[in-house]
Amino acid sequence: MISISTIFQKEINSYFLSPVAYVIIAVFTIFSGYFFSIMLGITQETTLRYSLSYTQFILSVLTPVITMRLLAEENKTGTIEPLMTAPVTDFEVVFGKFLSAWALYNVMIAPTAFYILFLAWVGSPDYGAIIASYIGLVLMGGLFISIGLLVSAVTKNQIVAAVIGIVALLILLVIGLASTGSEGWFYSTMRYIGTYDHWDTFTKGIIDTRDVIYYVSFTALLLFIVVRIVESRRWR
Amino acid sequence: MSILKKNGWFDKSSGYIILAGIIAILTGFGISRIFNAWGLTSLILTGIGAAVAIGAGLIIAVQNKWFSTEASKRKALVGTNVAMMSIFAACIFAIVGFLNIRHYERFDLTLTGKYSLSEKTKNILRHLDKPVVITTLYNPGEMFYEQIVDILKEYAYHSDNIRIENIDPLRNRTKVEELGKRLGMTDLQLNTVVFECGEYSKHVPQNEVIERQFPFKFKGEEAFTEAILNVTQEKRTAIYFVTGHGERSFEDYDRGGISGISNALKRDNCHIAPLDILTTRKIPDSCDVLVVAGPTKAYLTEELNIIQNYLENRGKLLLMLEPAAPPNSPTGFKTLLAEYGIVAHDDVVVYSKVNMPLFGIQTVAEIYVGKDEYSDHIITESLKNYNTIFFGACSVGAAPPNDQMPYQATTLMHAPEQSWGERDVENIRAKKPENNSDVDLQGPISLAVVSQVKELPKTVTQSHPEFANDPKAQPQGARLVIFGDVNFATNEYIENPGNSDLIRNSVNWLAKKETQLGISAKAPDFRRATINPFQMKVIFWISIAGIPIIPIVIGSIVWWRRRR
Repeated sequence: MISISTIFQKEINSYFLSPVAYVIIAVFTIFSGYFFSIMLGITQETTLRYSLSYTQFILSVLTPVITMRLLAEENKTGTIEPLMTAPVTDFEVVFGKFLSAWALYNVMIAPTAFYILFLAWVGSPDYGAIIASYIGLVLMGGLFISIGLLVSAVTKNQIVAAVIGIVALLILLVIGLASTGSEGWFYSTMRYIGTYDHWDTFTKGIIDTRDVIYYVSFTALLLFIVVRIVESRRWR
Repeated sequence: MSILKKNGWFDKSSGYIILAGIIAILTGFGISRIFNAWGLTSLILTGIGAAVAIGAGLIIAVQNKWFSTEASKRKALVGTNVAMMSIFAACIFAIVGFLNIRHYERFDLTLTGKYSLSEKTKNILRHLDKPVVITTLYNPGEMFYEQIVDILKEYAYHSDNIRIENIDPLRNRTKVEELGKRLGMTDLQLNTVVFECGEYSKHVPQNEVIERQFPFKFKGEEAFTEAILNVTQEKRTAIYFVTGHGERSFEDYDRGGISGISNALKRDNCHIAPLDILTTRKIPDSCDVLVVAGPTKAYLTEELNIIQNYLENRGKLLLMLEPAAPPNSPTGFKTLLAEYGIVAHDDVVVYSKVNMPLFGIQTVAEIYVGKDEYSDHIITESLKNYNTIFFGACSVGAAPPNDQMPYQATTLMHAPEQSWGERDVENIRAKKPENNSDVDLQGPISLAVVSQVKELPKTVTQSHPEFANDPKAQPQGARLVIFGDVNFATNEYIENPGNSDLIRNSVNWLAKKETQLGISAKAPDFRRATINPFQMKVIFWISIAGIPIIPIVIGSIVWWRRRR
């Protein structure tokens, strides 16, 4: 646990002691704020549901930017070697980095809490639905970060890691959307793998164990693979 | 074997060859999904693609001596190990997903339980043992679309036998046509939810899901659960329309025809058929509701006897009288109706409040029945927010209640105040009708009556105990709905929402399909925002500039300090 905390602290510091985190947060808040106010104006409903559907798209683009350097940079600069010889397990390395990126992600979405104040100002929002949406946002963040981490683990170039991560997340979003309304095992599988349906349920105000387990198990699978990839470097 | 040695052209193009193989695999797979089956083309494409990609990969591996040195062997082994472990983990993920889809719980966190179905609906869904296909024919931009789709998802959540398909009729005409063909219907309505179970189907139009009058009420659960019950019933309601006496035809698509109502009944899972009593000499055993829609000629005594026998044997009759029928040419129903406590008058209801410049038929014509004129009955319960329009009805009243009578007749609706039953029908077109209290029938004027045979009153069974034990003496549960007008059911007036529902409710009540679910309509939880222009400006600018400025300022400070 101490090792995880050390790695977490190191990564968090590297995020917040450079302007990167602030730029990412600012970009996110500009776009999510735009969609929030526009959707509020159009729908005249005190709900976050409509603006959050755009948020998923914004997050698909920004999350890989958070994770792109996590392992790719270590691979490129060679700092992964001393890390491998340090008295930390591969899991601790990966999990520490994952937690730090996830923390930044949560800090990034935190300013959207202001929107709830706005909604309360102009009407009476359904706080139950909002709580469910935030649970979904946090869980979805875990999945997005783990995908970014996986991509970062298999490449040495940060830009390549970011681009592949964005493409992967957009594919996950699109396959869920495209298979909506179609029947058959193939489309059902695509719907399950895609993020759209799972996320949509949270935004309505429903906590469905299928969605929670999807996010948790998918995140766990990806982290497991990342740990195996990092581990494999030890033996090469 | 020169290809296995280092070769210029292969080295340069190996990446493209593998890419071509992958594209072929994806194309083959894509074709198989388009046709929803693995055909020869898709199999060949996938097979060749896989062979090319794997072959090229192996050649590259041999050329680069991946397995010849100790280091490369170890590298390959480690890579294989990672791949195997990943596949193993993915399999566990797949198993978890498989179990996850089958066993799950849902928690509705919304404050009003927006997505929670009533216990009664859940119970019905729990015991659903037949597959029900639900198809929405809504344009996604339609009001309440999301709410309809969301609540249907809840139905699917509670029963594995529910399958939902959402078709956008504007973008997917082929599917709509396929559905129409499957249901044997050419007039599929848009903004409808279609429920299918085996050969039965029921259409739920938008006006049954939403009360459009403010405050809006979302009646999705009521309507959908009733539709599921309807389509899962073993028997389709058989409705016979009597012909041969100038009745309105359900195959007549003109203004005076009643094809509109027959189509609506078909959508309610009813089987419609014509019936010539003189030919059949009996009412078919399968008949659930007998409809007599505006006879203009007299029924023979034999025919009336057949109808009476049918009624005595738990028959159900919907009779719509023809207001234009002169009182001198009686249809013969008067005596039969009297047996069930119904009095049909030889008059035309005049509504004096309508002061048309052209008096005569215009004055007596349209009668608007509003919420104050409906009596309390399950047929009119849901109509309180709608007007029904009658066109020149005659008055039909209920005999005063009497404990000795084996039936219970009640008025369904009245004409508005200031109406009277004009008895001088002969001259009604020639001169302006006037209310003559000595001759004319005075208000309140009843426009429709329902009558239901009840259990024999105790006074009868006590004085005649043999009646109580004799099944022949027992009332047989006949039901009658009598309207003093038929025009309100014609294609000309059926578009008026109250008119269509009035007939459908009457038929459903006669067929004993009245909903006993007790599910009340939920008010849709819209949570409207009241935003004035100032608030909108504040929200917009704080959202896109005010909030982002905070991380920008902090980031700038950090950057500035680190720079120094």
